[in-house]
Amino acid sequence: MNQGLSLFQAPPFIIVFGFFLTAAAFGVLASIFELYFSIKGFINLPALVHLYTIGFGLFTMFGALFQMLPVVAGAVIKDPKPKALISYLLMLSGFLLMLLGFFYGKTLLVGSLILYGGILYTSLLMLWHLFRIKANIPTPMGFRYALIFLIIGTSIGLYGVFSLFGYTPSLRDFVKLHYTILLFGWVALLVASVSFRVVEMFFVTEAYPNRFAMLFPLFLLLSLFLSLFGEIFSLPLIVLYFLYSYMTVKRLLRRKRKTEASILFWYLSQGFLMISLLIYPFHEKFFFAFLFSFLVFFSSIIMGMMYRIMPFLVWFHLSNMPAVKVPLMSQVISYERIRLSFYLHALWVLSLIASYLLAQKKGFVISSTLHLVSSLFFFYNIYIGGMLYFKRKSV
Amino acid sequence: MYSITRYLTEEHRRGDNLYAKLEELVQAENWQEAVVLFKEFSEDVLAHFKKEEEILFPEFERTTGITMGPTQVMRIEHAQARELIERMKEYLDKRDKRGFLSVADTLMILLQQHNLKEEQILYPMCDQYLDSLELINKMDNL
Repeated sequence: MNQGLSLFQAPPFIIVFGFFLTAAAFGVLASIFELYFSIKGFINLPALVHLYTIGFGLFTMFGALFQMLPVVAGAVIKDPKPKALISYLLMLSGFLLMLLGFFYGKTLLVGSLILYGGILYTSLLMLWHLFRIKANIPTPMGFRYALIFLIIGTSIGLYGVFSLFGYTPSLRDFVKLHYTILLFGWVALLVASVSFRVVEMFFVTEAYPNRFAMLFPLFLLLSLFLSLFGEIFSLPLIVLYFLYSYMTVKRLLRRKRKTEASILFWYLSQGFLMISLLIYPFHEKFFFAFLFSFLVFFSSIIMGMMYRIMPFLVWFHLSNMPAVKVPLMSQVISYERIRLSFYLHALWVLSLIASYLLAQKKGFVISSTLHLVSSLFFFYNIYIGGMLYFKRKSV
Repeated sequence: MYSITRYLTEEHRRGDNLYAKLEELVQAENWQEAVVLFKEFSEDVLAHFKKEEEILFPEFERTTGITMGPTQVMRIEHAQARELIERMKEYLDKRDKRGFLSVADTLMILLQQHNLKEEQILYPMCDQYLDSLELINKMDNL
């Protein structure tokens, strides 16, 4: 019972902000690469994909988990600053070396090892706290599974790097195994688990059916396993996420709260999750289209969530300080800027689809430029919003 | 069996529904109805806080011996919410739609994360350690 003394403690603002800002910076870097590739007419797919999934996705998700663990699950990481710093430094240095390795080869192994160390450390740290609490609600249950999938998926990735350097025998289909587990078992499961709580509360909707939400990770485990046997066996996985997406959209359409600023990001995200699921059985033939729609799914929801979490954290931490002029959420990042950010993001999505369908090189350059503008604007919003906290704090 | 978790969670949901309607009225600049609904909403939320602060939290603290833990954090967040509700009233009186919605949005997120912590952690602990039925009766009679 005495652990209650430290219960509910939110982690310091710098932890979440540090991860979020780094993610936004990687988003900018990814779009710079995108522009460069579209001008040059070639693509380094591993580098670009990992910039999005690790640079933008994983940094955001770890930052969000540091914040959500105590709030959603009551799992408090004591003295979180040094732990988050270890996690951050390992991941940042490892990822940068790995990224360099995708172009020059040499640093790929050492970078992957350091990054893997960072992911393993952070995942185990979180799992340790998650397994010490009762997970009788869907969200922490989903977190547990997602983190385990993350460890499995990245372990397979590391094995692949070892194979590339000739240290281990080459595994057939290891790449497919790697991305299937990480995209559906980690990214999509984490998003779904968060939705099970957030949609009902932020948009004032009916709750997801409890049994569905509770059993979702278990069904996912089974359907992921089945999907490894080939196209037709991926059907349960597709149906499962379709159900989740259908339930989410249905709730959002019937929501009682009409004015939520992030709603458009949610719709876009869910729409593209459905598209990626439709493509998935044929994804080896339409690999780019699958990856792109999955990217739109998770990047849109990340942006929408970050636009709500960041301003709230600035307000929340400042309002706990005496004699500080506390800005409201809309003064940290205005609704107009959130909307503009959405339109820029959506414009990029539409222009890239048009370029893809028309197979126009010039179109890719235009859409990449739009993406760069959108990413820079997103970074600017997160940076300005976060800096407001430090400015007001020091006054 | 009726539990503290269920009893107080239902109050949270009622507050959410009132809030959503209120926000819609202000958005439509239907000030007359908004004033009436705001009164209902604020009274509802403040009565809920009162039940917790005067009955549930003291009982929890007495039974568990934890006085500087979750209940203390919840009280601080109640104070933050009260301040925001007062600011909402000021904007409502001034018929300032933008100001009202801005404060209301902050209140909504504050209350949601506050409710989450209560529903996931504090209330189940209360159900585990306290006499739920007796406390529900006391809260009902407040």
